[in-house]
Amino acid sequence: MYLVNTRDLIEKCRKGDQKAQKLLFDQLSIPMMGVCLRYLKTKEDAEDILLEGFHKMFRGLEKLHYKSEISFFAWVKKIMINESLMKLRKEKEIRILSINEEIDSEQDLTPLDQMAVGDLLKIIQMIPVGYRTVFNLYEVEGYSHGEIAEVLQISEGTSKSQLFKAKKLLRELLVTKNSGYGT
Amino acid sequence: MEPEILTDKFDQINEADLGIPFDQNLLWEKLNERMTASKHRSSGRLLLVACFTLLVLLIPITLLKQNSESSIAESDGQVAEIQEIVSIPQVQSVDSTRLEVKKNQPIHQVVKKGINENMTASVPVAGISPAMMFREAEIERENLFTQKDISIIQASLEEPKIGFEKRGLIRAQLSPPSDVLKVDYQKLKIKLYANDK
Repeated sequence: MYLVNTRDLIEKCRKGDQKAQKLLFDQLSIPMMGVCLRYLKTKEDAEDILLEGFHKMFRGLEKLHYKSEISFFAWVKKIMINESLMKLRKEKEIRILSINEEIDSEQDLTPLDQMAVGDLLKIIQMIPVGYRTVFNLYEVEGYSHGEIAEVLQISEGTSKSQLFKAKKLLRELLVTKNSGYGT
Repeated sequence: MEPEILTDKFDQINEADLGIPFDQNLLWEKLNERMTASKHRSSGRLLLVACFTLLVLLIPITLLKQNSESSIAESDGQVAEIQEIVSIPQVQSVDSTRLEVKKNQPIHQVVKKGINENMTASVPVAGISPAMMFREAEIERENLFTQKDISIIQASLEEPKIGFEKRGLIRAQLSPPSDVLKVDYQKLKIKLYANDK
């Protein structure tokens, strides 16, 4: 989703224009809520982090060097991801066992690409937080295993193993879901 | 699976895809409340910091002021040695504080209510006022003060306490301003001794 006149809107937001702030919130809140829902367990947590993230975003606008709508959107998303991860760490939700397992060849998750985003979100929310976090960071956000290892303070091997398990579980859930549709 | 595909999918998500009721206006109100509360907290913190800074600044300034008013620096050769005690009935204010003055040479001018450069004084530590006043009429030496000299000199000790037999310097401030008066401050030096009683 790309914004119209984002630069102007940001400029007005910087000056404390509430209408501009509301407009920016309206334009960004749904995709950002999607980000929070992918990481957090409950709707309440997601809403809380969404608000915290927007609060930080508005405060951070002062120092933001605006380049483009794409980079601005990525910046806001990054705030939401960081806030979500902080929340998970704070609540000790991320429990990732540092076990390096033999990892099979890449799971083929092509069916995920073909799923509607709403369904995709639902099945992602069904897998454990540890798997989900690594899956989100790697497959959706495009982090490398090295970056994930740094962010989550785990080894790269653990990150790979978590991703493998996440994909495996997603595949199983997908099969179940599809067979459910069939019945 | 290309991450870009999933990323794009989630970036394009709409309200219905969230799968939960999403009240944008309600959330905006909550955000607004949060931002307002944060602003108030920031203002409160700023006020607190400002008060604290002011307090931190005021304390040394006050101390500095007290010190400058009641301190005595070491005197120099212009100060005569003590030989005998002469009484000056009025220094701080008329008939209020008694200042004993010692001198080793004849003080050619120890006026009733004044003091000059040859005078050395023995004073009770607690009795020295940071603002001793000398009236024009009390100081007659021309090399100290001219005819145009003013009515009041405020003298301050450069050390808060005068130790026994310790020399000190009185710095004088004249009113009106000294640039008008051209007073030689260096000559306005007296030696003060703590009273060991």
